[in-house]
Amino acid sequence: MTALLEIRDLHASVGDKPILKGISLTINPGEVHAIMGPNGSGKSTMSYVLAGRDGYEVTGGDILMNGVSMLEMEPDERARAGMFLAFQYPVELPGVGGMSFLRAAVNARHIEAGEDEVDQLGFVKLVRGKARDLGIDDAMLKRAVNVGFSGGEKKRYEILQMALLEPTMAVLDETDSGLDVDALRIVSEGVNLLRDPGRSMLVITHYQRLLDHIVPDYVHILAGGKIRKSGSKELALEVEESGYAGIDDAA
Amino acid sequence: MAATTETIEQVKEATGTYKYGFVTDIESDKAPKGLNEDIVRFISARKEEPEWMLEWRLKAYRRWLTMESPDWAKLDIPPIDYQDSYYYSAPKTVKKLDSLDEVDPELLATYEKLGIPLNEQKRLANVAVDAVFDSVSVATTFREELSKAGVIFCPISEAIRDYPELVQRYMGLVVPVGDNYFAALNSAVFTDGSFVYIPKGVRCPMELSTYFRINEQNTGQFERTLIIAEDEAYVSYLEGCTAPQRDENQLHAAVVELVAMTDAEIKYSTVQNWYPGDENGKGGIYNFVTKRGVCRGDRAKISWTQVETGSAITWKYPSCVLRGKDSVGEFYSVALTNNHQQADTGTKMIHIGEGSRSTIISKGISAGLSQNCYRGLVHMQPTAENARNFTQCDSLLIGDKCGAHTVPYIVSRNPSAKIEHEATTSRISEDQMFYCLQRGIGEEDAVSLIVNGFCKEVMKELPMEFVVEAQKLIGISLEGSVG
Amino acid sequence: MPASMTLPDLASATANSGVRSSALANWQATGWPGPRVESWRFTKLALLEGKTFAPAHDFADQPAGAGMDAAESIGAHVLRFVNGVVDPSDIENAPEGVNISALAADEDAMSHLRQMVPPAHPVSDLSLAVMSAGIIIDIKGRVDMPLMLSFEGDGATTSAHPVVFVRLFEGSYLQLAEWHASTAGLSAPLTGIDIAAGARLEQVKVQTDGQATTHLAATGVTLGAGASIDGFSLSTGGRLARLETHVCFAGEGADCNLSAIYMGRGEQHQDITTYMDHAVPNCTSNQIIRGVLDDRSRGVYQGRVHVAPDAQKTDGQQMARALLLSRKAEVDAKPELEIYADDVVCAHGATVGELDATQLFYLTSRGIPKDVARAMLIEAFLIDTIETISNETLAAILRPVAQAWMAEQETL
Repeated sequence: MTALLEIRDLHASVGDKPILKGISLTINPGEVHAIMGPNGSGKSTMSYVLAGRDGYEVTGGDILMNGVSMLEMEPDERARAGMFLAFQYPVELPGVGGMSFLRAAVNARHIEAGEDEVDQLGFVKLVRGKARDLGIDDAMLKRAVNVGFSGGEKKRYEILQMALLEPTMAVLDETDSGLDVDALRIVSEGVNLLRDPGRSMLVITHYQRLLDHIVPDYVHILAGGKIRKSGSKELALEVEESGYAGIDDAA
Repeated sequence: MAATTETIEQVKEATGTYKYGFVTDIESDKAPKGLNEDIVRFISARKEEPEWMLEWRLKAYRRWLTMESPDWAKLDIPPIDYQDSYYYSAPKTVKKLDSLDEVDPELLATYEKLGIPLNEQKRLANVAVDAVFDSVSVATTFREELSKAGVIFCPISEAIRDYPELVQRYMGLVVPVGDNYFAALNSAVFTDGSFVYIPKGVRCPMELSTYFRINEQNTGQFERTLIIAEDEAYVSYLEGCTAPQRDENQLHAAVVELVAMTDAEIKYSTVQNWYPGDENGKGGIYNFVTKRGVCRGDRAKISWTQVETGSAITWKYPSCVLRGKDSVGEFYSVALTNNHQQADTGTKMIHIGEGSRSTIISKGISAGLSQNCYRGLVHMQPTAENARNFTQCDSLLIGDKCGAHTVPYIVSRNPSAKIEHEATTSRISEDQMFYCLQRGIGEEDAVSLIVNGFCKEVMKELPMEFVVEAQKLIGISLEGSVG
Repeated sequence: MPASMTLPDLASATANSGVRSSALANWQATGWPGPRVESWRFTKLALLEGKTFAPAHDFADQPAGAGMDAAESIGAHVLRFVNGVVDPSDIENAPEGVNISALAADEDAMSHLRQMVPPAHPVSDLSLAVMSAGIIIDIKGRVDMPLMLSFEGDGATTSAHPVVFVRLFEGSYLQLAEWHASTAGLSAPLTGIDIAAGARLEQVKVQTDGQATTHLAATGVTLGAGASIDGFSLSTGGRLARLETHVCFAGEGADCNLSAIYMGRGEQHQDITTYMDHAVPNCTSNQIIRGVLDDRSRGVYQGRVHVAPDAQKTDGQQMARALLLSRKAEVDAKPELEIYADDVVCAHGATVGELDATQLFYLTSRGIPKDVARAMLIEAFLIDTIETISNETLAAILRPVAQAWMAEQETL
């Protein structure tokens, strides 16, 4: 079986500063992996490097999706190839209507696949259906992307996009940050509904509590730009009890 | 956005970058090159104008001779040789037409290509069109339906003959012949344009629209539009402009005058897509236009909406004189410049009436090597008791070789009047680009999406029928500005 | 306006050579700006027309003015100018780190100073040519004692042309106050402030010239890498006053705060004109301008922020607000952004209006007399501007001037 995502000895820098210092990770189809780590361990850098953001320079190693290297691919090419990043801080797009944004993203995939563009009316219905499950009302869909949304609304909107774009590899960057208990439950349920044998997820988080809701198959501890420890979901509980302190020193 | 990609591709395939750059091969009747009193007489004679009109033109011409081209705008205008241009060019086969059947098929095909079907079967739903080809109006649709409502919509040359009392009363009232250099020139040599009269209490039953097309080489276009809305009348009017791709620059110096009486409302929208020149700055239209409306009656309202993507150089300040009590002026503008384009555009809001209100929303987008300047005046006269103005000017820069400038002039002579002005300049944030890219949207589409979002407040003021076209136009005009 | 219509007494200047002679030639060719010069569109100098002034050239002592009192209150070393002529005794015994020398003898310095304001500037040309006093003040290291430039004088036909060039050497620090309280016909100070890398200037200017005086000030500021200036002007005097400042960012990482309050009553005309020339990347400029205008007075604010190509990461902010207190008062504003670089954060805002009627009602409903309530609201309108002054010593000399203006307001 080809791994869905394979990260091979990945080194990456921001500016001149090395952040990721040799990360290797294999994610098979349908698996949910969690990456935990203290602040500054390189968690967000990892999500940006996977998505191909400018300014995050890969200085060594490789990232393969379905056996194909993504390093030369632009962020939009990676996205159309099935990579999805749920942002820690979703970006506001003033004046850009939610529906036209979502349609543009979906159509970009259709065009690349040589398919017809989505039918406008059918699309609206589809979005509304998925939005309802996430507690997103029509009024919110009509607003400009993320503009004036609360923290919880922004996160739900990210999951809505994930549901519509149907990625094979979803990276969730600190999806729990800024959420209260109820919002966390709604978002997690949304994510769990999208668990699928053909879809893998990488859940990046600082706290264990998210993993009570989105239960991972594997847990990795990231510190100082390296994976220090890997294990089953119990590893998360261990960290919860003893903190990151011991792990940090393990290097 | 996919639609934009598609349009861009189609356009590229069809004609290169500028969609409307083709030339129509049609025989024309031209005045000799150059400008003098005889040319003015020639134009007036061709138009079979009454004596008073010729006198008016000659007065304007003599005034023009004493004036100088304005130099205060942030524009680099090469010297213009006014003797090296034709001031009258008319398609030969066009006479007074009673039906479209008599229109030269070449012409009909031209307008089809421009996306403006004049053909009875294909006309735009509920939009009456006056098509002006070089110097003359070639067709006006829906005239019968309009006249049933008492609305007059005809070429201005016809109005001069058929409604002399209205034309004499209003022409030059809002923009006097000596108002500025280009207005004086227009007053002397204007050849056609549209005339609209909405009688008291009438709400014009459809959108009115004029499409201007410059076809001939070395031809200036000088059209003149006059719109009068009597008490409680309403009209929404849209103009669109295109010209062939030519290496030399062509001058377009139009004058538009609006008069709104008590409780009347005029909504004037422009989608300006004159040929902007090529990516090296060769060719393109000089768009030097004077547009002004006066709210003469109480509660009258004039609203200007413009989407400006074309022309090599734009010099244009659609303005409102708010004379009536509680009258309202609005200016919504998107000005997009790319490559070597230059634009100096904005508005003037002259508050005279008590309780008059104005809103200015200006969105400037500069890309390539272009220069884009907002220039606007808000003037509160001593009589403007409790008047209000709100202005928001935002500039967006795409690339580091272009310029964005904001030059507001604020004059207040009444303490109870309130003025608020805000302006910002920024570029598309890297965060926004990355967010769109991560969702799989390509770079050019992402820029077009973000820019259209930036312009949203203005776009929503356009008549429904033209919003999609304007959005596509922005996408096309931005082409080549990224990467 | 031809130069010949004013200031016929240029005889003394014709003997000069070099920079001053070229400045004179320039002035004679251009004179005062005519009605069509864009940068003078809101401020016309018609009232100077036909007036004849005679520049003073010798120091004539006078009783000490308000600037001297202010200097004493903050323990400043004073350089005193009477009708634009500096008191020679003040040149000596300058505090440690301050060196004062004659400008007229230094062609290079004059040439440099002249380039700090736009070419063919009427004030720069005229005052350099006539130059009733010309001094260079060099600052090295940290100077803790504030320096006060006090300008006094009288005589309806007298004109004052003091030229001061302040040079802060690398890493130096100075607190500079400027006080104008002259009743001379024309006061035309030219000031150059050259702040070298890492140096800092904290500066205030008080302009309380007489009600018949025309005050035309031109100031050029150059900021080296990492240099900073915190400047504040308060202008309440003069029949016509224009405070024009040109700031050039010559080194990266420089920071400029330049704020001003102008207050007008009677027939006064108050003009604040600024030009921020962001020539290099990574600099910030911030301007807060407040105007209060009563009677038939007129206020003008023109401010341009220019960002050159490649001056990326510029942060340029302007906020101008004006209050009209009378039906006959007028305010004109032209905040301007001229931007040729894309990675910038630039914004400006401008508002014009009157005192908030609801706030006024609220105060009077609590038993506060209307005129007191008005004064309170005007002060509130101005106060946050004065609060931005980082140097409390210098701020302390401004507050009484603003308060005195408002006290007069109450008794009117």
